[in-house]
Amino acid sequence: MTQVNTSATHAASVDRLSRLQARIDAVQVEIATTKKLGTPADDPIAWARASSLRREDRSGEILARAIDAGARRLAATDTALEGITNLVQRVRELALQGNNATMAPADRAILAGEVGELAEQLTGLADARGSDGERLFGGARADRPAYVRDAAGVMVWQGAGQAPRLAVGNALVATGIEGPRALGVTDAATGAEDLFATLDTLAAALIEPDKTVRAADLEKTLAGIDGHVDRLADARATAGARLARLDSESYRLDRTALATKSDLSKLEDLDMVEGIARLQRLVTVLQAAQGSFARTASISLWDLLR
Amino acid sequence: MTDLLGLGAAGVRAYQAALVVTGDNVANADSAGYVRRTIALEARPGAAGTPTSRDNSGGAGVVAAPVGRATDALKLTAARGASGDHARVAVRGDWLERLQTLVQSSDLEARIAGAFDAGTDLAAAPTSLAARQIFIDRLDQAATGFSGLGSQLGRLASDLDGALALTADELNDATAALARVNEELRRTQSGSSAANGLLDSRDRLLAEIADRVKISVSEGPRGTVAVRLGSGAGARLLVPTFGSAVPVAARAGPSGAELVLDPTHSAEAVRLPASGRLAGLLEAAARLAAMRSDIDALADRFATSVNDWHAAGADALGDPGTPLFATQTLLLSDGAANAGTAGIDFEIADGATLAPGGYRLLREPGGWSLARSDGSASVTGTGPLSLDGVTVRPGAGAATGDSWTLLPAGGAIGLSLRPVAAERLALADRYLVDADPRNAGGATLAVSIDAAAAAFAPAPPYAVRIAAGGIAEISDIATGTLLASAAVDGTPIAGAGFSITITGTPREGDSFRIDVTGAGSNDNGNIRRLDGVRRSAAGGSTLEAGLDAGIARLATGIAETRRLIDTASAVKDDTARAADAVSGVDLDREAAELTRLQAAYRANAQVIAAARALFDTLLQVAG
Repeated sequence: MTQVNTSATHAASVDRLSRLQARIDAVQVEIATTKKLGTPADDPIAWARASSLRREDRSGEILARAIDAGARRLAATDTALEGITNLVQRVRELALQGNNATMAPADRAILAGEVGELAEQLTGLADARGSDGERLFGGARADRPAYVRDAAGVMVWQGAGQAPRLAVGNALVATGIEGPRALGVTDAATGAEDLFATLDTLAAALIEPDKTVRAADLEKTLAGIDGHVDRLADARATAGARLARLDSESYRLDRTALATKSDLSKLEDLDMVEGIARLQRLVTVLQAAQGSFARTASISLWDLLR
Repeated sequence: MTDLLGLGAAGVRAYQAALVVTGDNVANADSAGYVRRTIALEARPGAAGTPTSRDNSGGAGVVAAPVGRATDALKLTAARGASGDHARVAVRGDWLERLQTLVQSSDLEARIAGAFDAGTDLAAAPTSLAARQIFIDRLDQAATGFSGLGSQLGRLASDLDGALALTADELNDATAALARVNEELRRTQSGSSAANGLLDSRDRLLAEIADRVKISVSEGPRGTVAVRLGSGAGARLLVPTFGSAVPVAARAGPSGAELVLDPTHSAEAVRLPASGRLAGLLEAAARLAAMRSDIDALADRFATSVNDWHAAGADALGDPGTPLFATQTLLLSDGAANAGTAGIDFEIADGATLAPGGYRLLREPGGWSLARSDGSASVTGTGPLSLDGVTVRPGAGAATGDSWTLLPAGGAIGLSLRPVAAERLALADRYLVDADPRNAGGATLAVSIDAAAAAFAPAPPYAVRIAAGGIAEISDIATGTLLASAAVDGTPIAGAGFSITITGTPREGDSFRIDVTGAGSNDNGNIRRLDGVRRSAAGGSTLEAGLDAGIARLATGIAETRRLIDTASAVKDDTARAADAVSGVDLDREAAELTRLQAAYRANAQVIAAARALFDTLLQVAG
């Protein structure tokens, strides 16, 4: 004869009830945290995937921030280059005016004076700083003036290396233009002059008393200025291309971030409707189980023994 | 008539005994380990007729047989086994969940990611003091994450060792008690209430033992049992039917914690069958040990790779980076009998080789002594003491005879950030390279640190010019001296503490300049390479993926254990119910039994009353 109403049966029923209660607790935690994954053990594969997605998401945000900083720097570089280009245009006008044979020496002296002013202004622009206070044209040596006049009175680039580079995708994007790339290099061997030297030469040519020498010097200077205009345009184009590169990267990052977030949400986030429905179902089951347990456990033959 | 009286008396006695048994059952309905008692009533055979007595045609009444126990050995064995299986997975699950909670709450994953992320931020603003400070702080958080988790795992491991020792002790207590019960059973008459009580104790002890280890039980005379660890021919005897029990102990073996049989006499490690709480604890200990060694390896890898990375760069003052992380430490513990209040401060020099046994610091009359624990070296003095690169600075307030031990620790516990000033972070490349803007070729020049390269005296800046025939000429810019020339074929050209690699196709006349970075550079060449450390898959996976994999492995183990717990607990409930269906007390059944026996008792009493009435009638007739 099998016995049913024993203590083991009773304990098993109580155990079933408490297991139901534990499942209700778990669903409640899911709803309260709005997350499906409480511990890695809930779904190890989803957890590992979510963990790498979270990292990706975070590093995307940080790269976007770095790109913003780089873009600011490039934009500041572009503004400075624009200023220098305008300055060179004005210098060109002055050279053309000075090349007029009928101009009085006193007037040419005034032009020479203006060239001197522009040279000062150029020194300021070449030493321009970005929003973070770093020199834009000093390469990797942003803590010192980009150009300093040496003992012989020649402007010498003080920088070295390249401006901080951003790792974007698999490539490096320099977030600046080095001084010599925008302003040229002085080289006695080839007769090349940088912009500072050209301005000095122009100022000297304008006050040259000998008409023939002056005309020849001015012609040469004008050719040099044309070279500078081209180089500056190239430098601005480079800065612009880099900016565009950063823009497209930041657009790509935005889209990736959206995809990452939605993947992460699919893995981690609780479907509220489903969660609440599940809770409701479990509560109903628990109530029914409690009710039936209370009824069956209270029936006893002893009540009938009088 | 005396027959009838005898019959009634026998019936009353028998049913009274049966009622007592039922009452006992009801009273013990909820006693753990109580097995329902049964009693059978048997007809007493009448004696055959003899020449002096006539044949008693009416029978001799009823007699109660010895009280029995309602058990089913097979069901009991099944219930014991299922309970052991459940205990194994439940206890394993419990410890693994604790382990998971520790690993998860250490937030190590986020801390490591935070350090690397701060590095990325810093690459965008290498001269920002704030960004440098944040980076240092994040490195510190990663280091304390490792060391905190390391010491918490250490504590968990010692808790687990404690639980193992406790469980082994409980097992020893139960087997010793069972050996005593065996002894009692041999002396007690079967079927007596004392023997039944002893058998109850025996079954309860067997259940306790089976809860801790898997056993097989064979029954001997008078209900004594022999208990073996596991089953099969090679199963080792734990409790013999005659003699004392064999104790067990847990100890640290060559491949993690193991169970040892008879630890005090002939200690022998045994393979534990996969059931019972001890098996679960040993499995959890193995998993914990694996996690600890994973975390230690990750900590070493993190520290070494970040230190190597940092050494390749130049800091804001132009100097090479120094190691950021210390990878070993000493765990200081005060002597139990210390009377003084002195604080001890110590410092470990770079690359110091610590004695594996540790050190002992002792306050002596008028001075201090610091010695290796194995006694192979020692120093004495009044001030700071140095031994093996360890400098100990004792504070004031020590009493003579006070002692301290310093035990070396590496791995996660040993990881800490060394004090580093913000400007000492080596974020820049050691050398700056610029190409002449007039270069016509598309070649690039890269400099890598190579301490062994000493092709010419170090006096930067250098100029590298491509001469006719694709020959790179390296000259000293200050003096114009030609230092070296080499063919440009993509192979590294040795320099002074560095080597040069020219890639691409240079044109004749192209030139490059190489200069030491010097102070105040905003170069981000080295900090940019920190991302390479993060993405380096040396050893099969990246650092973070390695941590993820370790956690996922643990999580898979827990998920599997959770499933096993569910099934094991269902089987346990089932087998317990099946065994209880035989041995347990069903109150309804006892109530019915009680009613029946009461009625029978009353009927037998009525038989006595009838016999008395007959006797009275006879007396009246005679009178």
